[in-house]
Amino acid sequence: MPWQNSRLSLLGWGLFQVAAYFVLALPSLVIIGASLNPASTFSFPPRGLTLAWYMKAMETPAFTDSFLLSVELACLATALSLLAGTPAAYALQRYRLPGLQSLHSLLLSPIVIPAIVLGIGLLMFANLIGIGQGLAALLLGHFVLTLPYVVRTLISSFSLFDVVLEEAAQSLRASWPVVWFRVILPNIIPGLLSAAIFAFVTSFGNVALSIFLVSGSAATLPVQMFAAVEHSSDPTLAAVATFVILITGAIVLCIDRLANLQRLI
Amino acid sequence: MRDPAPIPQPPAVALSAVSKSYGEVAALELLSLDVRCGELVCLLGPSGCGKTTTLRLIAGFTSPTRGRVFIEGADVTAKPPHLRNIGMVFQHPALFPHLSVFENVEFGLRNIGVANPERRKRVNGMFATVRLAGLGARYPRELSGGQQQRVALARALVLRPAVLLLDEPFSSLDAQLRIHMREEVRALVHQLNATTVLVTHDQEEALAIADRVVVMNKGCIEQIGAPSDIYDVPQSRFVAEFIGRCNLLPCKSAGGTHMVTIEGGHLLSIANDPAGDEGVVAIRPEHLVLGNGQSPNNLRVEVLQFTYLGSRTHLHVAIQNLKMLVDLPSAEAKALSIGQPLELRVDPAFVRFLP
Repeated sequence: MPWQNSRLSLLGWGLFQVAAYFVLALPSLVIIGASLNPASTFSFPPRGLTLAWYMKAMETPAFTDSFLLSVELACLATALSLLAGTPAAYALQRYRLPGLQSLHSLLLSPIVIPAIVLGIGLLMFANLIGIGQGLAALLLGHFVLTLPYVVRTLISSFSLFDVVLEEAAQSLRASWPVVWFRVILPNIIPGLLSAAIFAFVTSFGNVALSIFLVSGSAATLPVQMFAAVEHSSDPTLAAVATFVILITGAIVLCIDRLANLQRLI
Repeated sequence: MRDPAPIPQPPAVALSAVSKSYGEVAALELLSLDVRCGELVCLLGPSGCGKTTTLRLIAGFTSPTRGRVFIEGADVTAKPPHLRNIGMVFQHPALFPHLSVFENVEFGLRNIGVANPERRKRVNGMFATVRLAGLGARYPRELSGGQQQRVALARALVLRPAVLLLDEPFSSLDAQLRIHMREEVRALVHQLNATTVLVTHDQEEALAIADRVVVMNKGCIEQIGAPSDIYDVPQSRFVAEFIGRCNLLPCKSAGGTHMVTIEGGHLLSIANDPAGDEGVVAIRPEHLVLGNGQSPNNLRVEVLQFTYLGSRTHLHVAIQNLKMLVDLPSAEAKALSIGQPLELRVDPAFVRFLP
């Protein structure tokens, strides 16, 4: 078609791309700008450059403690989801048993249920079984939250994995654990890594669920930020937010590199 | 002092009255089969005949609904694949993509706990046998299709299994390579004296490499025999038509022994006794030759059509409404023309009655 090659439409497409990236990046740019602004209230564009708000953030225990809690929680939730989600995804992809289809829907349901409904439900459940608010309840909640992403990612990994390799391994005297650790897992590493990113980032950034499950004394970082923004417009918050953006970006970048490396080897 | 009587060796594989059904559908019915040590047996049949199911029963990937499976005399019916002494090669090589060629072949030896100087020695010995020396450090995707299939063979054979199971192992290769590989596999398993069961739907392949052919149809064995027995003495219409090409002519018993009449009142002398009043006679197209009108077993036919195939020419002929295929040397077919009446002759030894 002629319009595909016309210079004008190429230019239009280029402008569209720039605009799209700009809109997507705008919130981050505003936050980063505000965090470097010496002005004592949240404002953009910056009228100078300072790292003072970063120093202040690092000296605020409310932020540092909640950051450590969030990291701990995200790591635990990711590990738990991978442990439970990998066999679950395997079973859902491989076997055709009655009831598996409804289990599939059930496992993926936290994605479609509004987080606030899930949060209230989990809070009531946590009180019912007597664990109350706190790390245990948060871990349970984040496990439920991250599991669907892990299961979904790994189902597609397993569908790309050739079942005959399992049979070949068995015919070569491999017991079931050997088949798993020497054949299946090494071949789904890219899937495991992207499932881990999804789970970690989802857990690390969650507010809607966490807000119901944190105990008064120890909040996760997003909950702490949410609370902070309600009663101050201190740019320290922008510094913390920038830090979160950098961490999340770094994780995604690292794991993406690792996954590519794996494919090259 | 006399030598003690040799202890009879149990068959490498024995299937004893195995049946397999999936719900209502029977895949195998009361199938019994012995595979002797060192022989190469081909399971041959159309798709859905149960040949692959039979192979997977021996491997342990499926379990029989009824009946028992024995490997070297031991009942393995309840054992999982990794505890049976088998080796298997699949339709595509199924090499482990994350392991090098060397590690692929080493995989099974690690699993049975062979320690390293010995393990390396056995892998390298197998590389020499299958002509893969020097390729150990490569990864499977860096090999050609034929090389990959040789690695798959090496990987299975290095464990010295009681039986090597080959599931249409040449089907992923192109035609020329397929013929080359099947010759290589036959030479290899005979050299190693490895008992082998090969599944194929390609009758030429089965006839070319098997010591014994097991022809299967609808979950049952139709006939077991050496390739030449299967071809020359088919025992059912299915075998006659599935292996090579065959004319099946409806016939009636002519009273006397070894005599039948076919369409047009032709009296035919045949090789076996008709087992019944009515049936068919099976005649291979190449056994029909030009006659002189004098000999017994003379057939008067009309030529309908020619198909020239280089060294041979296929003649489509008819006796009234009965159509037949004749396979003549092209030199003999040259003088013939369509519509021409023709005298054909067939040696009674090549005419068999089938019920």
